[in-house]
Amino acid sequence: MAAAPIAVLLRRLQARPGATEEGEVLGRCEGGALSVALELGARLDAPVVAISVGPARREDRVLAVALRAGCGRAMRIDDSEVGEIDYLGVAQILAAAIRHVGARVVVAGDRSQDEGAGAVGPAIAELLDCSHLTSVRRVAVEGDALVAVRDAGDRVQRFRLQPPVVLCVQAPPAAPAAAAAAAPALDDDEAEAVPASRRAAKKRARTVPTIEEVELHDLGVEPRAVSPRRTSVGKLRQVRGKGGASLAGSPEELIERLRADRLLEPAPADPAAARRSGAGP
Amino acid sequence: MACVLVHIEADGDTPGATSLEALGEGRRIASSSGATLYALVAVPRGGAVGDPRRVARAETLPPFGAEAATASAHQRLVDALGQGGADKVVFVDLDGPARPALWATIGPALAAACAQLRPALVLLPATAGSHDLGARLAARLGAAYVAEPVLEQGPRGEVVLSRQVYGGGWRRRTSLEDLDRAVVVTLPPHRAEARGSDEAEVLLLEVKAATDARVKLLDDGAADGAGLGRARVVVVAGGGVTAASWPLAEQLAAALGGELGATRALCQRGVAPPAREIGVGARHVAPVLYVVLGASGSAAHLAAVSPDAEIVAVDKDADAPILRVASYGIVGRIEDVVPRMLAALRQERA
Repeated sequence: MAAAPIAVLLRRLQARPGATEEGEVLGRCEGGALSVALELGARLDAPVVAISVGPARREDRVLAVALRAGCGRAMRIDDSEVGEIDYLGVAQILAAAIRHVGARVVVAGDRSQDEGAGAVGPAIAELLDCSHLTSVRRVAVEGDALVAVRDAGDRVQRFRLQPPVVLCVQAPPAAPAAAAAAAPALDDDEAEAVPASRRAAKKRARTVPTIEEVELHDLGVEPRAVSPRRTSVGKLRQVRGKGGASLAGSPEELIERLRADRLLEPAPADPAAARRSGAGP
Repeated sequence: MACVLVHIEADGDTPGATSLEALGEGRRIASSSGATLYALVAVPRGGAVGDPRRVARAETLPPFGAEAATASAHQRLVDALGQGGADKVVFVDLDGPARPALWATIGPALAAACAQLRPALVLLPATAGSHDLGARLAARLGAAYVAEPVLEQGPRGEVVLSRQVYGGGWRRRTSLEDLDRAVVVTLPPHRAEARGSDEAEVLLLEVKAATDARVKLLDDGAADGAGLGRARVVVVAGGGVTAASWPLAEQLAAALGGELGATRALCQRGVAPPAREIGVGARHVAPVLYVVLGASGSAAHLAAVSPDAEIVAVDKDADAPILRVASYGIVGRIEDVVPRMLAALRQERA
């Protein structure tokens, strides 16, 4: 496999409206994506390019984390010319950036912690006309192909994928503390985000490059072409009402309330199972 | 809205439970908007269900033999979907296997069918593959995409797709009436099925769409924690649970007929197996009842729980954030509260 760059798509974890952006920098899945991208970069001897969309005040911190972790290049795309856009608008911008850097392997987080739709990675694959796989846990290199382990909830699946490909990566498995403590952290903030990339980090981060800022027109993206989808973004509303749990005075009272509210009733028979046994729908 | 389409994942002649629930939701929306409800099944050529073309002439087939068997299997599937509310059952031929249901296997065929039928609303059951399939289908169709919302009624009686964001406390709401394009929606389990009739019309759709040969399944095995995704009751143990109190959480999950999960903090301490982790990037759950033992209710945890789950919180700290989002709560030590809950459950059943 030629050592074309590997693109890792990152995004600063968004604070709730009205809250300050001071918590975690990377979401769990983005941390997994960065880790996988750096591992692949080390195995393929390929540079890893971190790409982010948004203003410097929000995204530069996440790109700085990526550079310190071992990415060879970091690119931030200024989207100030567009308003609020949906997953497809974001995907259009990122797909153009991926073409711009010439990556054949793209690694993204499976779902963000704030919005959680998980739509951007598959949409980029559609725009690039390449394969994609979601819910990826681990990736290995086998010849000119990649072998990915997919966590499918009730199944664990292994796939062989031929690049170009977009991999949507889940959070790294929660390692027991003893194992985590055995490996020194890069930095307190980043310890969880990039657990498996330290050798690559040391090798690549001797000189830390600066963050490149790219305009939409540098990528051939017309702002008006990505803007008109505002109706599909949805309206953000704060949930009001319940005002906290209804507290029970005793465990017995709690069970009684749950029963009175019909929450302890046995599950209805599985209709599919009923049909299989001939009992009808 | 002229057409609502529901993708059905079927095991032979049996539609999946989550698919039937999505079909039920589709029925209610189609009825309220005067739309036709299509149930679409992607069928591998020569698979267990056989050739869908035989459904139309099932009565002319001999009463025994392989052809009759596959025809009747097909008819059973059509009957089940008709009874589940479908007006029309659409079969689409695949040139490869239908499982696992991912974009690489069935996505191009599903997209080609949508291009022909032009649905305003596409519903997918939120299974392990729907996330892989739905977002790319939406991108192919230039549609909006809404993952695992609850369905609410807007002020004009319209359907509003409302999804939890920022780990709770906020919703992103999309009105079907306001959309200027089609929308693809994945629906979590535990929705009411609908009652239809035996008279669904069968439609055989010829589509030219190859599976993605660049993605090849090497192996597919069962995972630990398999029951969490569809469990009606989930008990989750958080950082307030210790190795000593973990068996109490196990007993409570068993007594409630549910599954046991854990937060990332507990998995990191080695108390719970990583396969049982509930949170963003790990397992997502959509129970009716979600019992939280000793977990604060972080955004990364609650973002993986369906917003219509009723949350019951047990926490020793009366100011724990989880008690602000739970419907029911009790303040106390797990070691004190859970044994009494177990006793109360036993007493009620005796």
